[in-house]
Amino acid sequence: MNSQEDNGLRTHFANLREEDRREAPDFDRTAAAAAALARRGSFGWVALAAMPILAIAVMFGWRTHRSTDAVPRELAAWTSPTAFLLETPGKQLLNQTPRLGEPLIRTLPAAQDGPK
Amino acid sequence: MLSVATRPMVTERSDAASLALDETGLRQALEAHHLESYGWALSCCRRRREEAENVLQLVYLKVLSGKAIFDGRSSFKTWLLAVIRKTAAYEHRMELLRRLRLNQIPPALDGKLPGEQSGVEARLKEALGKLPARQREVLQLVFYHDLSIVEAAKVMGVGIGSARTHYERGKEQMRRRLA
Repeated sequence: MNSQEDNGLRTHFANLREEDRREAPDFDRTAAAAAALARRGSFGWVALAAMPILAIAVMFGWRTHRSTDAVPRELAAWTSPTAFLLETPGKQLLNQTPRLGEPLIRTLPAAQDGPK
Repeated sequence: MLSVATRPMVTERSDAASLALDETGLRQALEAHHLESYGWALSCCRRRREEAENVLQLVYLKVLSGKAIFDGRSSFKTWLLAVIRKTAAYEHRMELLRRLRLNQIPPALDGKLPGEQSGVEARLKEALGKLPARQREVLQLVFYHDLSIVEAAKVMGVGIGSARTHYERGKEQMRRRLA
């Protein structure tokens, strides 16, 4: 391509440039839109940063709510519905230490008070 | 990514480098190159005006917020055009990904240009639209933005030899299409 053709191309591009300039948005408007984007972006970052803190706070609150004193107390008061089965006859004998020279039967209150 | 430097380099282009120091200077420089920037953004966005305006807003945001820092290694104009090019390419990739996620087939890039006109300028736009991206970029930078091939190569992020080849091939293609 010779310089004449180069000039032709340059003229075409110059016309295109003029056309673009007529349609170009105002600088202040573009800059203002960019500033608005920045504000929106910074809000997004704040929201993103706050999210884990919020999640931790919620988890902490949930755990605190769960670990109240009421639950252990209820557990301590709980008895098994089949606990009575462990109350076997003569269980008291097994809970006492027998003494030498004394009959074992005397140590039992039921045996002492009961009819002979 | 964008050329990011922690402090401005002291070069012979100190007038330009000093712009990096304060926001007012940056704003003035952006305003001075606004029309050029818009023209280049249009070219990078395949002459889609809404996309070009969006890209320009993102670029201004990057520059004014300090995300993209002018380090004075080239002229402000060259640097700004490179930032616009990279931002447009990134936005284009994101747009393609969004469309793929939504199962939308992206429109053909070499299709009809928006706002089609008649006459020589329309033929120029059409011919430019059909050129390979590199050839289109180098021609736009040289003939529209009055950059040298060396500066165009910097904006495009390619070697000078490569830019020169794209330039020659692009001109040849344009000659054929505009004949």
